[in-house]
Amino acid sequence: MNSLLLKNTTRAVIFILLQGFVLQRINIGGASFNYFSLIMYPVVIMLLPIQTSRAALVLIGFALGMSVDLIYGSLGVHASACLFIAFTRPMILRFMEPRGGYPIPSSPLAASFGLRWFIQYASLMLILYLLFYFSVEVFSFKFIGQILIKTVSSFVLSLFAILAYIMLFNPKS
Amino acid sequence: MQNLFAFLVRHGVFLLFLGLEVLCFNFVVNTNQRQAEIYHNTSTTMTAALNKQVSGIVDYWNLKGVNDSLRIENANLRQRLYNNVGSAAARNAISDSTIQRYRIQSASVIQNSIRLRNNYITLDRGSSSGVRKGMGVINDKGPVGIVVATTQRFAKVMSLLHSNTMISASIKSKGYFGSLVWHSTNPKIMELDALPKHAQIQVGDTVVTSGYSKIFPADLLIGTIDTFWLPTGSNFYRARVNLNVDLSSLYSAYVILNYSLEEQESLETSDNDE
Repeated sequence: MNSLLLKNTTRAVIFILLQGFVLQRINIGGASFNYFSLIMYPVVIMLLPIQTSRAALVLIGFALGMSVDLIYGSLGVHASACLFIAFTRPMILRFMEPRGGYPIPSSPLAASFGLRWFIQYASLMLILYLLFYFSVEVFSFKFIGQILIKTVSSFVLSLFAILAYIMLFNPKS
Repeated sequence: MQNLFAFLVRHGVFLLFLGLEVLCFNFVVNTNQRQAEIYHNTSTTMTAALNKQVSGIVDYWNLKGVNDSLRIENANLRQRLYNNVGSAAARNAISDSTIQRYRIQSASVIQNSIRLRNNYITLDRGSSSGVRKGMGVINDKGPVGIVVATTQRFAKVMSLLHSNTMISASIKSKGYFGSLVWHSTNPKIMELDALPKHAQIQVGDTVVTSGYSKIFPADLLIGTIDTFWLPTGSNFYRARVNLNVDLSSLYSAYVILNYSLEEQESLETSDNDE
């Protein structure tokens, strides 16, 4: 239990720093196609143990998003999106429940449920995150086209990055 | 009570989520400049049309009072006009468009609040009438607020009764000036800050706009000094000002379109470049 907590905390800290200080500065597409954002830190929410209570999820999501926001200097933008996927995660997990249910205790990992399952799960979480995030960032549905372009292009990029992390490190908890 | 408790247990997480989400949006709107502008514009567009309908009905009840104040104002203007007739120089000055700095655009107030910490007013004139962000709004009794956002047909005005209000004001015929802020909850009372310690002020002195700000012309009546005191450890007097304008009954207003605003601003910022 303690090692689970330690691992998730370490992961959160590493990804907050990575997101805020490294990924934020990566500018793919240059000034002419400024639609790529590399967003990896929602993986922290994705990999939390399945039995995490909803209240804890919501609070963790808020804290995580706020920490990234503090580095980005865009108070509330990441936090609102992170909060949103933390809140919807139990529903997504129920929707993706394998036959026979989830073993107790377990975490939603590629190592335990297969890479295919994880790709579907991560895609769903990521697309929800990015949609919410860019909606708040652009802050007007008048620019729905811009929101969608940003979501799709960032989705492809971020999903590859997250899968690369999963395959390279293959976290076991 | 028991029902409430059961409700909280069942929907507690959802309420927590909703509460934090509201907090986030509050942060977004209050700390991010671009989002704040969009928020003000959208909320103005959405609510202004509705408010206009409501005020169309309510306006009838106030017609008599509005008429009276317009009549008094007309009388004042006529008086000023007649007094000016003799002076040819004054007439020339008015007709010369290069000297004319201000144009006045009348507008009706379609929404107004006085009870919040930060109050806003909505006017039924917007950018298509030449109203721009940063322009001053007055009525016949004195300054009312400053335009913070406009759409094509509406303008959102930061009322004097706002925590960010800071209007350069001076004491008439004595020349000391300070800034007018709203710290109280009373819509009739504001405070004049930063009056120098050596100023010779008296209760009952008249407070007018100083004209140092680009927003209001000089010598507009603001109110009279009610009391003043020296805060401990401060070198500046602080004075309570009884406002002349009554913001709780505000039905029409004038926007001051300042033509030399851009010219003046570019001049004032130009010395930073060299």
